[in-house]
Amino acid sequence: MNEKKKSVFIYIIEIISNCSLAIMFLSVMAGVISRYILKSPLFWTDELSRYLMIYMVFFGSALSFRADKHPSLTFIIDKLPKKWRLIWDLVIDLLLMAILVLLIWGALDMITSGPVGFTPSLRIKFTWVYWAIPLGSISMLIEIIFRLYRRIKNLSHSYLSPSQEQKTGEY
Amino acid sequence: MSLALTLMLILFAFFMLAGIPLSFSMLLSSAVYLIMTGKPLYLLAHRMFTGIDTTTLMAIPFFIMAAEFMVLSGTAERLLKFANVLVGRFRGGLAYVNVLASMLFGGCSGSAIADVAGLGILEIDMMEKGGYDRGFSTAVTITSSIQGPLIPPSIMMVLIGATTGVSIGALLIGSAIPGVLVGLSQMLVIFLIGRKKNFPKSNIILSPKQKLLALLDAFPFLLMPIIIIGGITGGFVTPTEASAVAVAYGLLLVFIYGRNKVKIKDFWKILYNTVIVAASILLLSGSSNIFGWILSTEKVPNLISNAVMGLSHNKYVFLILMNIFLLLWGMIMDSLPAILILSPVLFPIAMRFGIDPLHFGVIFGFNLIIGLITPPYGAALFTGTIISGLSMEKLTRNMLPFILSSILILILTTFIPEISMFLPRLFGLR
Repeated sequence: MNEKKKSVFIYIIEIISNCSLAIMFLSVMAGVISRYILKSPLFWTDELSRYLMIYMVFFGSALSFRADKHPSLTFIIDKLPKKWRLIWDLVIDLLLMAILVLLIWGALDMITSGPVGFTPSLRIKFTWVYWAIPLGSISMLIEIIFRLYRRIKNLSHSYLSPSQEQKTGEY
Repeated sequence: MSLALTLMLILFAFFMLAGIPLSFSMLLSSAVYLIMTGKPLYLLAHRMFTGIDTTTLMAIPFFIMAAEFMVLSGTAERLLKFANVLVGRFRGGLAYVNVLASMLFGGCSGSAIADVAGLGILEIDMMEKGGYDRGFSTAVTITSSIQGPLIPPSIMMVLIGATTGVSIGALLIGSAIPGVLVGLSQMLVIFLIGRKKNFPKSNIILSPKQKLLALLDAFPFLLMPIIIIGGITGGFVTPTEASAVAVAYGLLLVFIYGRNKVKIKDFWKILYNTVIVAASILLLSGSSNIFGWILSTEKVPNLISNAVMGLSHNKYVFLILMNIFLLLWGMIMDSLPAILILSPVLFPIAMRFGIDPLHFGVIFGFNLIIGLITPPYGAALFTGTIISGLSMEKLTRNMLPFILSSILILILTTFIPEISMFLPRLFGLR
């Protein structure tokens, strides 16, 4: 249970978000060092680190789903009988998929509609930064679909097993 | 209130209580509002972007990562030894050591969970070997951990500053005295209980040379808070840069003290651990931006503050109500989401009552920090039950005097603004 087998998909997401964080750190440090030691502040460090953070957040959120780290209030649904809890988890996953689709739609709308400018100091197209949102959301969606698949498999499994237990108990 | 807004709020409450992750509860209910009012969906993505694209928020992943490095480099063991030299020889000594070590560790890490999970296991083990029962040992470990987010660095204060615009430096320094007072009040509780229950006294006498060695061992780690606080108060670095420097210093300590045991895989693991926690918090910051934007275009904070002003015009009545409300809220919700959900509504009200935003920010954070150790939902309490294997009821009974002493300090901080305002004013941060 602890060491789930990592799929290629998760591995790629992990590389993107971990590297974003690492480069984010190096970039901020480069800013500090250039200001104090080299006495010539680099102009692009703040922007680069902020945009990497966007990538870290949207891709990392797929990992947070896997690690179950997204804050949620579960004290009510924890009281549900086990079977209903399993079914409710499926409903949650479906709702999550719905909002992710809306978010991807909105993000693509933002990227494709209207002229998009360049970032102030790096002079790259804002589109490159914005792409983090739909791409990250798609990876969250994929992770949710995987999870839904696992849960349905679990559910059908647990549907079968209690009745089998009952049978062995009765006879 | 328009129909769309009413529906949005009802849906949000429903989604939230139905166990949908908070950031997605916000997004989903906001999307319903946008569709109903005919506003374009790209606002969803654009507002999220704005809510995350802030330099100040970057301090959150960095402070999380710095704490991970400190644990990896063996801070916990060294600080514990050092605390033992300072207060270990008194009656109930090991309990004092527990509180003091958490205070020192609080200067290296900005979260209570890191304290309970990293240092806590060693503390409980140490106290049990010294003749204390497991319930009491764990109770001291959990309650003393709330010094972590109060004493700078603090992830919580960074988030409060980033969402409200109050100076993060001032919030970090301002919560330092309340943090130390919480520790001292808990030591007082130990003193009182110790006299009644006749706590054991340690009979190990250390030679001056051993004491000096413990100090030298702990010294590089004690330097961490000095670097952070000094960097910010001296105006050398921004809080975000200070958090990156903290990571760099943590890395340096890992290279010096953990060279033999640490593998490349550990660094990857630390990056991963940081990402999964930081991403979820920052995503929430993004979703609360669209949610908060809708609330403010519909003038909800105004409506609520009018309603509150209708109840009373006295700022102390308001602060008492706030403390009660926030302590209850903290019982059911984790502190960081609570900050993002409540601050856009509560801060404007506090401003209308003429409360200093810095003072209110510290009280706001303090309340939610106590929520970390109160049942039924307290993240630090929860971690404590996992590492000790004891039930929440048993731990809560043992923790009660400590929780009450912390609330006492909260009340003092509420009514004596100087407790939180003195240091920021001294350093000219406000």
